[in-house]
Amino acid sequence: MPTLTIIQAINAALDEEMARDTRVMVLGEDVGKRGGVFLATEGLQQKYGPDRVMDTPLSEAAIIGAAVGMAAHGMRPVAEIQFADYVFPGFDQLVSQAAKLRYRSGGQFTAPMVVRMPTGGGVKGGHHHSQSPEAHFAHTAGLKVVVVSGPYDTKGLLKSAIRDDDPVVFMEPKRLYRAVKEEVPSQEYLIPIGKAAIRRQGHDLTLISYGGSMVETQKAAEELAGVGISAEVIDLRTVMPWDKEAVLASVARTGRALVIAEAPRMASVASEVAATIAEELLDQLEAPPLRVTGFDTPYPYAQDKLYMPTVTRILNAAKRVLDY
Amino acid sequence: MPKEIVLPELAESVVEGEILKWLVKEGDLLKKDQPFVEVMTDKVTVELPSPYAGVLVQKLVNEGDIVKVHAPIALIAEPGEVAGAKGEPARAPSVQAQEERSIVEPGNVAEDTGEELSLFKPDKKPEQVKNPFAQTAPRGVAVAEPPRAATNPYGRVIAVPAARKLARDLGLDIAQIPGSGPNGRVRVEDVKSYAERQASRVEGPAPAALAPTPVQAPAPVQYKSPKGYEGLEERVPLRGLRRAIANQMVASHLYTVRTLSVDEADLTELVELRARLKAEALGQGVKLSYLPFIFKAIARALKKFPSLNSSMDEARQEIVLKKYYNIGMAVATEAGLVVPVLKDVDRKSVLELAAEVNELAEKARTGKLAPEDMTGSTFSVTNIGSIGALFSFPIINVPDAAILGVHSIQKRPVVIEDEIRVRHMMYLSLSFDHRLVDGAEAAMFCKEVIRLLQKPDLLLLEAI
Amino acid sequence: MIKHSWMFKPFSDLPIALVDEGGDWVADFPLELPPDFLRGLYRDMLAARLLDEKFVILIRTGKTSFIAPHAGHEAAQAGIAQALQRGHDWLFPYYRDMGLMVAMGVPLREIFGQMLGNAADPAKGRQMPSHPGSKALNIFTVCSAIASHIPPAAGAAISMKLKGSGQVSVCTFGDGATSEGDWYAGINFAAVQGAPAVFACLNNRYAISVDLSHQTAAHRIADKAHAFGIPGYRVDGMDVLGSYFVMREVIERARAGHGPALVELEVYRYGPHSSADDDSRYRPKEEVEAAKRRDPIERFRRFLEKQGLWNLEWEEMLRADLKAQIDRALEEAEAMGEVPALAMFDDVFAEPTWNLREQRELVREELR
Repeated sequence: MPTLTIIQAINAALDEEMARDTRVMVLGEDVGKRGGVFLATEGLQQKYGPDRVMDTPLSEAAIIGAAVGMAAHGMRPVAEIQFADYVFPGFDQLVSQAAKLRYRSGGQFTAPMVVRMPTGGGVKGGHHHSQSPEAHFAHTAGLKVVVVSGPYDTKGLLKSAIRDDDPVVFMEPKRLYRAVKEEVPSQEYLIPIGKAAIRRQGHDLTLISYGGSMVETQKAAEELAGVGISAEVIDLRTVMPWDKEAVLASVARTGRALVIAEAPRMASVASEVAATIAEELLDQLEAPPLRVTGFDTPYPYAQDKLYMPTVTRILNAAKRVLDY
Repeated sequence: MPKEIVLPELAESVVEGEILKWLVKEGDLLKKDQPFVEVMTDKVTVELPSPYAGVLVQKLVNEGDIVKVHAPIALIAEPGEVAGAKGEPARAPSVQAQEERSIVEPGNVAEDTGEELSLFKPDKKPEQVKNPFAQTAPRGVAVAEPPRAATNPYGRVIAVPAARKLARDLGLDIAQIPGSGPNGRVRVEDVKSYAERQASRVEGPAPAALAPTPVQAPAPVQYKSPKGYEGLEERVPLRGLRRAIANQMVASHLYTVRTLSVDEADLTELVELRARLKAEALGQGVKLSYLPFIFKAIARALKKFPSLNSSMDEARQEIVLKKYYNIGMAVATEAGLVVPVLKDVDRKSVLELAAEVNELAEKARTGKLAPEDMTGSTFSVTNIGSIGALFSFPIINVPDAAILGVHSIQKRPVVIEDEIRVRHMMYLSLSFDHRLVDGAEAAMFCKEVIRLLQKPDLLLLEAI
Repeated sequence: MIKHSWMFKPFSDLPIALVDEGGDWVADFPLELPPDFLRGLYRDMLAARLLDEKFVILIRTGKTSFIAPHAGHEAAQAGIAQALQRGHDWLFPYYRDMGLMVAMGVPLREIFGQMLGNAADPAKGRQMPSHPGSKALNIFTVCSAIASHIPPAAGAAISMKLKGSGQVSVCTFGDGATSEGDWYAGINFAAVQGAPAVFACLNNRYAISVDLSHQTAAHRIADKAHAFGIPGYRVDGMDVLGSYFVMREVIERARAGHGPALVELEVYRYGPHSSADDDSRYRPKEEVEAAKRRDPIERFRRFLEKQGLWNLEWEEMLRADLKAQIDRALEEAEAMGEVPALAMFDDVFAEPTWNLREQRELVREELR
């Protein structure tokens, strides 16, 4: 079984889906000849031609907006936005067109499309190469939002996203692109959108995270194990719709929860998860659900690593809920 | 010391690079910024400029090696310190070797099993983790336990939601449960241990022999209006003093082993004494009732029978014997029952006590009692006499061990030396917590109070 | 007729008009259209005008909450509708296109359903009035966000090209839309790809109150086509035959693989921007009256009369027939009743997610 990085898993998923379904096509800046700035689409244009792996003008509005029209016309476009930080010129196309097409037409037109984007910090990119804007999309009715953390999930979830009948924002933590390797089956498999994964079983508290912060979350769980504290670790994988059932089932058992994500705290996905835990499990909690998140500043350059939830910050929060 | 040159982060997301070609030889003199090695990553191919000027002492990696970002690739030294600089080689581990550790079992091919699939490699620069659990005492051990739940400035108990739920389910008053968390917060564990203690207390004379199963307290009575009478009921929210009274009464009812001892005292002499002193007191601006004499007698008797001046510290499983004598005085007001406290009764004169009784009673009636006026009692007195009941079974003012009910002083026929005499008689009802006070002690305490009241001159001897 | 060479030159100084104000055919090619087709154009224009008048009644009787008057746009609308292959080509309209919807053959009952937001609306009352769409006729449901439909129109055209479907993507918008970034982004992408797309601007010289001189410093909107490397045409949009012929040529040109075109159709909006607008604040009455004297329906009537295709009797019959159809359609639409409350939660996704199911349950309980 091949060992792949996330980048290679994306490439494999796109390759398999394009081979399976001629409606699937890829478009974006530099995705063709260059194979994508992160090389996620490397070799695909040679294999499938410039029409199905299309280099586009430098316009996120054109990329996402055209994908809406293509999808409505029967294609299954996979648009690449070079950095999540640059989705905003195309934001109106995602929010006003893609997200609302099915609804506003009463189900007559649909936009089955995927918008891939590298997300998150830790790569010394400053605020325009490091942001985690998933809350904008999760807040928009009509979009599904996936944030992956490993190669195996990436392949299975990207394939599911391509086959989904609704627009899916597919976010890839760029700092993990080549930092995580995993055995990824070359055979067909799908991971359902909306299902979390239990990464570690435990009974003292539940650590809920997704995307890049899964690294620090896993490490924090190991540190806790070292002092005899058993943490359950949940990787949400999809943040809209996030797996409420899995989260509540775990927290109902442990009575304590941390929600960890590097996106800014204000009005975040982490806030939504924490609020739901408080609403639904209040009298089963032994401590308030705490959020360990990025800060409400623009993403800084110099304090690149300090901005994201560190293992220490997670452990401090864990101590707070355990001592509560 | 020679300096290490490490492979820099060459582009976003790049974690490793392949050494394509060395551009200099070991021993070559390098200028600052002089390209010295060619490196290829999956994003770029670049010539690395030397960060220092000096002699390339040693190449730590070979052409074709794949090297992690931040791993050392060469040693460089000042021209003068070259001799002997070549130490033991610290070769960068190859990525391939490291990766074998990062590969995990992929799980079921056909479906996601939700097992641990992703294993992350260490950061390029691993975070220096400060584990807070290593720095402090083991968690869950509280420094000191207050006798009851801590409250916020509004009187709301500070408790974990799950602890509230558990207390509700067990029919326990969360306000009575000592909290062991920070700021006295009541935790689930506190409720559980409290419930266990309650269970062992009510289950009879040999609690040690019984299994510590938590007592299943009866569920609160569910009130339902009788059909047809709904309109004839007025509903008053259980708030403020009324709720405090209710809580205190329930706590007393549930968490003391209340026992009654009844006796009577011949106060003829006291009546005469008071009659004599009344005018004198009034001259000093003090209205003299019988209560100050009773308080003095009680304080004296408590010194003889310390178990009646004690409390149970549930949390620590200790009996607290108090060497101070603060007597609570139940006062009926329009708003409800309040219990102002006369402090240090043993150290005050009858006249001082009389003045203080009047003052506190007045404060109680006008609702001006401060919280400190109502806390810290060690024993209480309730005066039922003014209303006229024959006698009553008082409720202990927890955490006191006992309360004495005093009744109206009435002329009654009494047999003294085979003669029927008319005497000023008063019933006394002592209600005590049998956990703290034995029956004989209670009876003897009563007898001592009666002795002092019947011979009020003795009180003068005990004045200080 | 149009055969192998293109009849119209892009970037003309004067707007292309084939029928003059007096109703005379002034083109340099013979008119070879059947009488029924010509009468059909007149019928579409008249139906659009009567519909506009009916909408005013709807708003004044409180039956709808919003109208976007289209009187003055009828010639361009009727011309566009006949120029494309209805039901085969795709149309990406904007919110002042209800007249175009009639000409495209959208059933009047559906149009009124959309205006009422009730069960007669194929979109289930999801949007404010004047936002039509029809999957059956390949009419992409209108989105309020100005020019946001241009990139999807480009994308559909690229898809048509990739599939070789022989379709054309026709997109309409007003003059204000040409200032939006998405307008440029969409046309540029279609032009780069040589996709079969036609971008038709119904230039009525006002974006609500902002007149053209504050919208663009370009001499004319058609000139903006230079920036994309595609032909731009300036057309008298009050001339239905000019509108029809130019649109037909650029649509067939796109279908033949020659890429997109930009067509500027000069029209005038008789009414205010919407039922919530007072146009007397920003344009003189005299200007409106002067525009009405160039009325596209009147002009085409004169043309038909000169061709011997119009008389008063036919006009009266036609009007009576159209009015009856409109009244009947409105009654039918009204009879369909309200959209069920819980339909609010449908069509967010193909399958409702758990949060939507929970929220639907909440409303269901409230309504119980």
